[in-house]
Amino acid sequence: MAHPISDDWGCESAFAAEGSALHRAMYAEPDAQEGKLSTPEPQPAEVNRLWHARYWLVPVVMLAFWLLTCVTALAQAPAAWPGVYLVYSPSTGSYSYTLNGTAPAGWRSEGIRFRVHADASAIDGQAAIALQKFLLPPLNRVALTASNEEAATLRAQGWQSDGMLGYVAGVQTAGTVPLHRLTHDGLKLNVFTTKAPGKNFLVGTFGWRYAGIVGYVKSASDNGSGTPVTPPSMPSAPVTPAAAPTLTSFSPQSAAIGATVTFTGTNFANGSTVKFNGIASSSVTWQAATSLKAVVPANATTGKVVIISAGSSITSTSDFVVSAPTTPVITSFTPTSGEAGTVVTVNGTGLSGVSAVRFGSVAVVTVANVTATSLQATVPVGASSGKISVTSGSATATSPTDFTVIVPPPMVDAGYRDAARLLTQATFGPKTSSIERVKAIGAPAWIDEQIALPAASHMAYIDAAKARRLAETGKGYYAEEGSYEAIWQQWLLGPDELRARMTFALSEIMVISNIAPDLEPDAMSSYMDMLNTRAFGTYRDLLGAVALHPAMGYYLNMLGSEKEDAKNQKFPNENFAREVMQLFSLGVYQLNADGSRKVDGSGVPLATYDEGVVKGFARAFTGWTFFGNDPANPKKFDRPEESWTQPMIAFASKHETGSKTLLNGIILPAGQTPEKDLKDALDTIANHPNVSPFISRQLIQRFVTSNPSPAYVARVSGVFDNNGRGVRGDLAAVIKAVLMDPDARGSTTLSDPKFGKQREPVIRLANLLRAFNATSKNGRNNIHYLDSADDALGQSPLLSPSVFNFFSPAYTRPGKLAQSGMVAPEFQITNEIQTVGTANFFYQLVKQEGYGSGDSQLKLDLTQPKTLANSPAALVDYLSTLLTYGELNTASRQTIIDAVAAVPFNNKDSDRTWRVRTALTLFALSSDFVIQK
Amino acid sequence: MKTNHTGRRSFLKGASGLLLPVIVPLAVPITARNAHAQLQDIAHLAAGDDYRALVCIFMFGGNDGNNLVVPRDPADYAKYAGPRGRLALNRDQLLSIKPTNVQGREFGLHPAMTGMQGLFNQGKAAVIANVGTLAAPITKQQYQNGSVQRPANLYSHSDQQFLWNTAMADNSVRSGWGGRVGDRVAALNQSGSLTTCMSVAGNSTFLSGDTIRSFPVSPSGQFGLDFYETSNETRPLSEGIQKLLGQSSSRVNVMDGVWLDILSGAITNQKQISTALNNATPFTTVFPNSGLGQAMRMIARLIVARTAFGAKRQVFFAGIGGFDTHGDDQLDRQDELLGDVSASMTAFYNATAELGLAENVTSFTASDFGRNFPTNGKGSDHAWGSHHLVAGGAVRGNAMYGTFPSLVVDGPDDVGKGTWIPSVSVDQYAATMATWFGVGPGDLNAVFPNLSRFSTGNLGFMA
Repeated sequence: MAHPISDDWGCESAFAAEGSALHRAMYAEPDAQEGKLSTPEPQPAEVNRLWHARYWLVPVVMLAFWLLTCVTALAQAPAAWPGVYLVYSPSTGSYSYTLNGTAPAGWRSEGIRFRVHADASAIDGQAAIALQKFLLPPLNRVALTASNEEAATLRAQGWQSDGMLGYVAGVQTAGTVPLHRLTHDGLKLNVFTTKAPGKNFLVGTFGWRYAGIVGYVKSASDNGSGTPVTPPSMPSAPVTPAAAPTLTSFSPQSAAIGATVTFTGTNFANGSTVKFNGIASSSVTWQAATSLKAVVPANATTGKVVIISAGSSITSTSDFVVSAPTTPVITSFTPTSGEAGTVVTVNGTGLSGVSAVRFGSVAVVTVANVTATSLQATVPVGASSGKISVTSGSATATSPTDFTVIVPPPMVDAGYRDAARLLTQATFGPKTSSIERVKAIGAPAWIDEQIALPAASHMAYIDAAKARRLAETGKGYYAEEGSYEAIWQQWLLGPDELRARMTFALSEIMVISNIAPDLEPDAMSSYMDMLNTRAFGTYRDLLGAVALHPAMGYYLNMLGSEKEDAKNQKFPNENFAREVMQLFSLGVYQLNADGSRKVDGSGVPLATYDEGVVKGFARAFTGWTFFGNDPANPKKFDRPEESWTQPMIAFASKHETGSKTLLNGIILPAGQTPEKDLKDALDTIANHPNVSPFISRQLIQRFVTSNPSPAYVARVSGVFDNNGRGVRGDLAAVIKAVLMDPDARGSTTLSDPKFGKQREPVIRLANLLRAFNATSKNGRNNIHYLDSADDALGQSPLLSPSVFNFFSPAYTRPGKLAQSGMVAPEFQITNEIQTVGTANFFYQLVKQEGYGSGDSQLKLDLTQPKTLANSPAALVDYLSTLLTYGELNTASRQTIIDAVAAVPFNNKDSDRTWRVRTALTLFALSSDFVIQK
Repeated sequence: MKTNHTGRRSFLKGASGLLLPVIVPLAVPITARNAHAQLQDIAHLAAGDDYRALVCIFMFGGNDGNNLVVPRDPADYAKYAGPRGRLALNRDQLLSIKPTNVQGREFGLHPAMTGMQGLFNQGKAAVIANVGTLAAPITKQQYQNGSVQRPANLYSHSDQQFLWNTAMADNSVRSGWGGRVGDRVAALNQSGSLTTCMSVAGNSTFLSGDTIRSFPVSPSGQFGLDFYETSNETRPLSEGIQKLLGQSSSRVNVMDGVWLDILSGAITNQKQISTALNNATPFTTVFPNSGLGQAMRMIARLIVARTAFGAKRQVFFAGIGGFDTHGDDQLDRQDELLGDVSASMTAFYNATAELGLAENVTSFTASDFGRNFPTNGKGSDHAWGSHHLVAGGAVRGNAMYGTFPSLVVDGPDDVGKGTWIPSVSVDQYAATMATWFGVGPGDLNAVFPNLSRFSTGNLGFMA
């Protein structure tokens, strides 16, 4: 293992040796001459610290091994005490220890540092311990240990065994010296020395610590022969000290801070440092041994440029002139949108000095092909839409328009999306739990399951409220507010979700309203219960119950309508007779099965009935009053006892006994009882062919789409005619046909320009409350009057302006809708007042995170959205599943993501609140939420 | 319970937090001048401060006109009181009017209409007797034998409201006559379609023209989004809203685009209107604190603010509901409702007089239909022709136009249980006011295509 001596590595000679690594290093590092090495520049935390260390580690390592060199006398040794060489990799700043002075490519030997025993036989009578070597990838940091326990720890930490170097003594014996280990934890560097001065110098400096004695070895100059040995030489080949660089030219010779300068010369090592008049460039790119690029650093001034390459340096002969920064200007960029990773070409002027590019507030990591007029920047991860900015020196330029960062939507399961869509159509809004249920059992089974659920009781709700009032105030009475609360109670919390929507739809066809005339609370709640219990029965049964309900009787004046008595100016009241045909069953024009109008030969629509028919039905409907009055006492007909929850009963004495002309030439014979006339009259209506398309079309409009295709109407109408078991008007079968129709379930309608409907304002409110499981302290609610368009919704259950409902199924809006030949019922209550009032209302809902006051105040549970607030895209996609069945328009989605991302986020609760508030408000106003597809 | 509705809303307001009328400033301009307007035939529109406004007050549900104007001469009154039965108003309580053009006959207005009685007697109001929807003049015999077309779906609320608004009883158009008039005058207004047709009663068929659409204004004066603030927290929301609203044209779904357009227009235009209203000089006339009263007050305020929009011709629409009086509360209901109509119309006239615009503004009533003359035992059912009121300084007042029905059940005017065949059509009623408003003879037949079917296009009640 002897090596020819070719150089003097004595301590003193180190300073004298022109071109030695230490000399070169110290000459180039004025701070290091005084033992005060430069501290590293602060860098972003995400930069790999280990890797970054290469920029400043070099001088530290050089200093370390200079010390070791100085204190280690060099000697040749016999084979019994082979020397351990220090080898060094300039490019990685790593060094290692090896028994072979021949260093691998890219490494060079720095000579023997200490000696170990060659075999396991006793060392001076003491036990010999193996000195094991470990390397830590990727930089091949080295550790030596004589402890098996420590060896195991190193392995666990990712160090890899590289065999053993030899044996050391576990205790000091004559002729051995301690081998000290010094460790730098941050850099995972270890150095080993036998000399105390080097140890003492380094410990406590720059993060080095003393890590104890590895074992006892012989010094480099003591080969055990008792005769000092000559220090080994640097191996002549292949480890040749790096040749000194030369510098031929650099270009440009003048540029602004931030510009890139290309240096041409020879022997440039990878990892070279470039200093502009003493200021090191923070960005040096090694291209070849003959070419380097360096960015003119901030604070650089005009002066010589020094290139430090593998410990050698070369100084330019001419000055590099730092020019005034060119003001950058961005004129355009392309493409104008894209996902993270998209390479964007930014065009402009004065770009050559650009040192940083940002998308919004996020810095670009990769900038390439910088010229004066263009550069290429890669859209960084986490960027949000906004202006592109470039910084050149102290000047910053911003793009005139926004770059739109496209955040790709997550892959949401199609089954999940359709479950949410079905629940949007069929209930007062999906919840996470209900989506899972539909997905688990499938849409048809879910519909069947819902139909089988018992109906909520509105009367039970107002009875409980009455009992509480009695207990609290001593006065028990029904309040109209209770009737509204009972509705919302079912909508928000009832398990009968489909029935709730069906009942609401029916209440918009067979309308009662407390606007005028005033209705009793129990009349209204009992009417709702009547609709609820018959929502999935037959149409004929429903029609009969509606006709005899005292709320309807009072609202449309069948209650108390009596036979003609011309002498006393009494005539049958026509109100119910007219509206039951016009609104509840037939409409004024005869219809085909697909809902289109029948016309005569001239194209004129055919009327369903005339005035004589209205009068005939009015006569058939005479003689009815409140339950509980004695028909034997005619005076009770004029002054009846009121019962608002029981079906009306007939006074035969008040019933018109003559014949009645009904629809399609049907004539009721004279002398029938009021009950028989009523039954026959309602049978006549319910069996009219108009009922199937008339009711089917309106149910489709209430649940799925405002403009159903004629074929869709015909399919549902066919089920209305016959449920497959010979039953007409089976509403359970009809609603299932509405919801399971290919137009409702298929995805093609999602992109049909005319498909869908506006979600009614009250349904939008229910959607938002349900999506976030709104509950109150006392389990109730206090949602009452929402009919103001100024500051509420312009719609409130049981408060329709008239029997014509809040809107007409035939309403169209002048402009795009009318021009497209579309109807849009809900747009009848949509106008410039109501949209703004509704926007304000929903903003308040989101801001208050609930609705109402006191113990009945409904509070939204926004835990999950707030958890996602730090990830705008994840937040928006979560809300999209609940509120837009995962079908949020791409542009809407991006807009909301960008708005959320623009809300400052420092992980405070208020940040999360503002982000969720921003997202939810935008959802509430978005056409994606408002227009159900 | 109905009457404390204002209280309900106050309660709601308390529950949902204080809503402040702060506006999002969007940089979308008010719609430009209506390029489609036909200017050439607006003959006598002067330059300068020439201004005219028409105000429709729609009585939803079908007002029983038989109790709006009642013959007061003893013999005539007897013909009224008998068949009316329990609905007959007491003769002594009828508010006497003596139209100058009815051969000395005396009539009485409903007892609740003291204000209108005053205007009538001052010559600032007129009665138009027995107006209704007509496809063409029709006799009882023609009605019965079907030889002349009837208006479509007589006696149906929705259909008859529609025909009153379109003034075309053969159902051949979908636009309202107020809107069609607006189409032709919008070019005279600097702000074009925004302020030409304005509704204080929500969406309005009456004001939907062939190109123009009514702009609804809340009687409460509640304007704008209340959550626009320039803080770091809310700026992203406001900018997000602007971005969403700007995407309407790129939406595939028609309703998506319409929704975004409505919200966008609302935010922009409400800001302009609220600014103009805030800058307008207040007036002192007090209006009833009813829905209609406050709606009429808002119209008066908009008229004051007209100069901010450079408006020369405006059509307004107001409404009042509850007239569908089938039941035994008809007398009470009419007392309340007609009292409101009278007080609101009177206050409105007084405000225009205070503003010096009495001769420039005309208000008139409309309704679905009249009601059967004989009671149904409690109230009255749907019928046809009915009486209406017109008020304003340009009205040839203290007079009655059209022909008062004979009040004979099964007589020549009656097609069933006291259902009066109208003596004049809505077309004629409307065309008379449109002519005063400035629609010239050439345009008149375009606005009212059926007008030529009737003996005259001008009933003469406008100066």
